[in-house]
Amino acid sequence: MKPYYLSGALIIALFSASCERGGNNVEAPATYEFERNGVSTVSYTGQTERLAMGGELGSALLDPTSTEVRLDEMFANEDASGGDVDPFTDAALNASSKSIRSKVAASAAYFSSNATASAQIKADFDQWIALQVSDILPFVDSLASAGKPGQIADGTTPRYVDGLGLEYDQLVIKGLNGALVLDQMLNNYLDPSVLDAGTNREDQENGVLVEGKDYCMMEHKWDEAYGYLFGGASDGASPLGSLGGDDVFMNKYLGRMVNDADFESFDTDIFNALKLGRAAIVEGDYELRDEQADIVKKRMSEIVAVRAVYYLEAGAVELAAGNYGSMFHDLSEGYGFIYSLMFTQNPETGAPYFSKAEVEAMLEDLMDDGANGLWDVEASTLTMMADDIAARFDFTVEQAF
Amino acid sequence: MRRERRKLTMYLSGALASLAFLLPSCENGEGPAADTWDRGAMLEHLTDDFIVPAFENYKSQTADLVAAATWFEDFTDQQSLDRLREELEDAYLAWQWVSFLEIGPGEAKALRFRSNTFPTDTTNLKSDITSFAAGSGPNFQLPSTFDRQGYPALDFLVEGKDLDYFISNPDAAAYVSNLAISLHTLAVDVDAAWENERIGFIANNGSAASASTNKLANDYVFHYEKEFRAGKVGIPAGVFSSVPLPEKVESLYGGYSRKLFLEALKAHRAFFFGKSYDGLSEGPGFAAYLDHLNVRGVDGLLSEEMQEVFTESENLALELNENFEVQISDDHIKALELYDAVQRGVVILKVDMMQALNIKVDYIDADGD
Repeated sequence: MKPYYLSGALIIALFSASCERGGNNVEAPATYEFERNGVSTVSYTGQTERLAMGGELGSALLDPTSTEVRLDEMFANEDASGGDVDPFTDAALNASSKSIRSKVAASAAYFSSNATASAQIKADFDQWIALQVSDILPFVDSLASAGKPGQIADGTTPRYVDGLGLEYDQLVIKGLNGALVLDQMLNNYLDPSVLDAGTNREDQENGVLVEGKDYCMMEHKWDEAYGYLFGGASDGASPLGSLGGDDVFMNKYLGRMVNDADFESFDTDIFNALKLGRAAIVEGDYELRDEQADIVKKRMSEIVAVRAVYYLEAGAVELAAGNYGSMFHDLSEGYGFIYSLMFTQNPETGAPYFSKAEVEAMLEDLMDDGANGLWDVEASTLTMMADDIAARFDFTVEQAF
Repeated sequence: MRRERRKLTMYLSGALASLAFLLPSCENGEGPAADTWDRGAMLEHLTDDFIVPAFENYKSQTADLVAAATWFEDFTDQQSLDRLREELEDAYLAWQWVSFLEIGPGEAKALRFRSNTFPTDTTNLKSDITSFAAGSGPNFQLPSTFDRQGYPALDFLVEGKDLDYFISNPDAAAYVSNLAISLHTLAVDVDAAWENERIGFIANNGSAASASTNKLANDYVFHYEKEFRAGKVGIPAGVFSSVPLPEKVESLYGGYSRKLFLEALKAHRAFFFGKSYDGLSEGPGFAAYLDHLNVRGVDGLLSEEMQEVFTESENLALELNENFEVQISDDHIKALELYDAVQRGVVILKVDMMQALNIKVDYIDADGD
């Protein structure tokens, strides 16, 4: 097979000096490498930067010396009045014009005509950051108890929770899996309204490059979707070798999936779909492109759901064993993944598997078994929620846990 | 691991189903005995003949450690340092007999986390010496201090430093006493709580997830898997990392990691076979329970297979350097062989035993973030 791929690539290199449509049989290359006239057309530096910003934000949320101002600046990469800031330790990120916050709940498909929801979601993240600073960081040297913030043991690891047992850093980072990564990837860059916006199809077919760039716009949109999952990989063309270690977001959790025999094909399913979809764009086969996008939407959504179920079930086990610190950590991660469900996309309906309202109702259930939130949570609340989530997907609770 | 267990269960039940299909004539009332085992009698024996005397002894060993530390703080000479080192080793050995009894009072006080979380954080430990001397030492109840107290912290100071260090750093000698007193206070608390809770613990003789037998079995298996197998051997041998991590051995500075491993093996074996703590008598324990149910492994009683695991592990350990750090640095493959032998016990205990006793594993493998 390999020589065949190579000759295909050669033909593209020799004859497709523009973005013109190729034959009907689209062949995906072995790696995520696409060139025109010997120059790479692949670019997703903005995604790589945002993933790295998220990594720094995650650490800073646990640093007792962090101020709300600094964390807000890391989240938005600008100050309250929109001015330039340098909140990161990595100078390249300070120099970047990108920001996480501007891309939270900002997809074309879900939020272009729903500015209200977008603003509410951004406000959730702002509030979690504020609560981390006001309700957790000042109490890192106290012991937590019901209604009282402080640290609590998860094995030998201290976890820092508020009086309800929540770790807001986990809500922020796990919540960004949905609000940033899934929303941008599935509901924006893989959405036909974005891929086919303006004259994208025409430009693709006529090889019209974005001014000053080496790519056509549609190719670039697809690459930006790719970048949200693989933009942290040192070898972006063959990213599966380092899967799981390239960011603190979906790359990490895709890595977790493939350790489980029930989901072990997820990495190649997604990588191959992104690769073939990109090749389909080069060849002008948009039906094939959208089929591949659907595979990615389904799989990425399933990862979020499997992790939500996993953490709920893990929380129930820790609750039974009386390990509150471990349970709080599981459920704080779970909270973020449940929150992320509203950004999933069922390719059959084009809608999320759980609506924003449904997600909010679930999270309320999670926290309202008693006055002290997770300190009072009941096992039945956790297992019922896990059942409800799994019921909307093609996997069982048993497989997820 | 959960998954491994589940798949094995499926495989086993599949195999049983096909056997039943092929050999219907063998089905006449044979198979495991009904569970008529007296859990209360077992709990009474394990509590009164093992747990309570083990904590009694542990308490007195830590008292000796405090005495030696105080003496060293006062005199700070080679003789008192030598004695301190001996008492530290004795207490560390006695610790191995209670480490897996993280149940009831011990669990409530995070006994194991506070006593033996290693490797120790030497940077913070050094700053603790200063802050303690200034009157604001660390709060040892905080989980963030687990890795700078207990035996690993004492090991770093008492075994890792020489007399000259303490002569020029009297604050460090005072801090050794502080660490020893903290260990002893915990031991006293847990021992006293056991005296109070023993009756309720024995009386909780049912088969619910919260019943004493279920919790005890889980704590034993958890300890065997996470502390004995992974903590003492697997992690430093590099089973869970891309390279061996010899600096993660127990007793890094004292260099007697093999001795501690063998002592823990002895303790696990004695408890499994229902030996009394003093070794003089024997009563109902997990092995007898399994034999009562006629639980068989591949070709014999499951309890006998576990005995073979202990024996093989002991023999393999005796072939290693007495300092696992040296062994793993020189040749970590031999440590991996030991790990594999111990690991066979995890399958026996966590899969076969727990299933046979109808006890649900109540812990999960943390996903590490």
